[in-house]
Amino acid sequence: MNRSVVRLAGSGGQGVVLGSVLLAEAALRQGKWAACFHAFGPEARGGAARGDVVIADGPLDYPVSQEVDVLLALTQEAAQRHAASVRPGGVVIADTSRVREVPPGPYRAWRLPVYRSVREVLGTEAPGNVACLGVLAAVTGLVTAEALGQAVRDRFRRDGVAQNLKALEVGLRLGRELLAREEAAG
Amino acid sequence: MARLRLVRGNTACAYGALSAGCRFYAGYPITPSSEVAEEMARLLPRVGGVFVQMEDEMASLAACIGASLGGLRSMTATSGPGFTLMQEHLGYAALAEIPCVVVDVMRLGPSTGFPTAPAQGDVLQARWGSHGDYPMVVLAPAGVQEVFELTAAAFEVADRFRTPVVVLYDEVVGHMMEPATLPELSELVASGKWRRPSPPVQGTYLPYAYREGTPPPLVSFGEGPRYHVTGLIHDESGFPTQDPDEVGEMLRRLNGKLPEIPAGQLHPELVATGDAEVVVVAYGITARAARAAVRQARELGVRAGLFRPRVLWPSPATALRELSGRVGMFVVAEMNFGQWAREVERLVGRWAEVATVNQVDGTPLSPQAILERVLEVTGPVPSAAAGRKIP
Repeated sequence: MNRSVVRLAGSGGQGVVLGSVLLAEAALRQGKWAACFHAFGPEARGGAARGDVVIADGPLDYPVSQEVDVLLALTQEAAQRHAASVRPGGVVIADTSRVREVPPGPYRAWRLPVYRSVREVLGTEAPGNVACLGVLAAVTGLVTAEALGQAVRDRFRRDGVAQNLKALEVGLRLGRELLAREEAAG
Repeated sequence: MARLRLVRGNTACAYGALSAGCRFYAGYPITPSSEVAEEMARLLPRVGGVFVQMEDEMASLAACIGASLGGLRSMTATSGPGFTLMQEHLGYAALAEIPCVVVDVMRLGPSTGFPTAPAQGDVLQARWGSHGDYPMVVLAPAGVQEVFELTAAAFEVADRFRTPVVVLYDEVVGHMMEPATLPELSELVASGKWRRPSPPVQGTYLPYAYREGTPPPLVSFGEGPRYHVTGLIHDESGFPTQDPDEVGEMLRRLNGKLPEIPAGQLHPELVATGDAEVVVVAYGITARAARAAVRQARELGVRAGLFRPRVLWPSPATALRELSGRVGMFVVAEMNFGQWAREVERLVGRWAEVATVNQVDGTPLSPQAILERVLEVTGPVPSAAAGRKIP
């Protein structure tokens, strides 16, 4: 059975838990099976937080996973702490402004200006988590842009929908540009 | 219309309770059970129910017992430290024969322990935590959908046998989100206020006069004749007695009222046990790992099966003993140092070998750990599978 594990890791308040739920809901909308696991400290903001999403073709006996296929790192600490969990050949996507350096390892790692781009378009960095999902969808194809858009529309209210859909577009664009650059570089 | 959606285990618990007609919740929040309280606080007012945050866990269960006597299906949820405090009133509810549901989402103990880490260390406390001899029902769901179903079933069992029922699951099952089919909130709202119907009473009401092995349905306070409820040993009328004949008879009947399988949907799940040479016994999230381990063992040519109890107490003795007539080896997998394994050993130890695989470090048992133990106890891997790497 095909099984992919995505880990969103950052600090409390960045929306990694909500981001993971949106990703799993998008997978469900595509007819896939998904489960979510969350871990965070007692702090309301600022402590380490992470959300793991397991996506599979059908129900899994045991969805708990040790190894991660894709890591979205939203703080330097998260990159340091979770890069070792990425499987060989896996993917690490980090935000340029928040992660100076992804620890070297047997995976493909990219830093992208996700938060900066979201701020340029929307004047706020709040929906950076949703933009990260856009990058993920474009780079990995694990979920479609349409399914993510539907998950956003079902989850947020009026203004939130518009803002988060724009953030999703920003992420999708960054992801597509990255793929185009990689292709051009051969 | 019920629909498939991504649901957290503790949310499914609240929905299961509400769909069964639970309209009273009294509790004191504690990790990893707090989401049950959060959901009940949000949802109960919508269905005409009552949510009370109490000063502690002793008061929480006391309030549930009172609400139940008043005709409301009632529930509380907690974790290890709070569950310990509830033992006094669990014993009271068992002796006074007042239905109620207690959810225990297990974290690593003892004491304050490791609050956010999963464990299965409350299995014996759930059965024997209060003093004296008393009956107890403990249900053990292994996934989000089953948390919904077994929580709902807990209320039926509690009313049918007039007994407290514990719904026992680990932190992983409580916090994980996976697809489940739950009713829409609008359906629950439409069902509105729900009260346990009081039976019609002709003449004197004897709340402890058993018929066909079970106590009569409870008359809600205020809806019929007055009666006496006490934690003292009592006669059929509910008033205290010290007559050895009455005391002995009362306790004999109390402790004999539960059947092994207290409701139709609570039979154990058997996977690939037909031709099995070794059967893994597991419950909760560990049963999910065990199921994966059994599948991998089969791929390696080992005839492995799974026995997954949905009811831990009373233990499914008949089903386990029946299996021990055909299976020579049991491996009990638990996130404790072998609590339910004692029961398996008691039930089948005369006829079969019982081995254990335990993990008590705050992380769930993996399929690999269970598979390795299965391969260890079954001896050399059959030649067909020799040389194959353990997945």
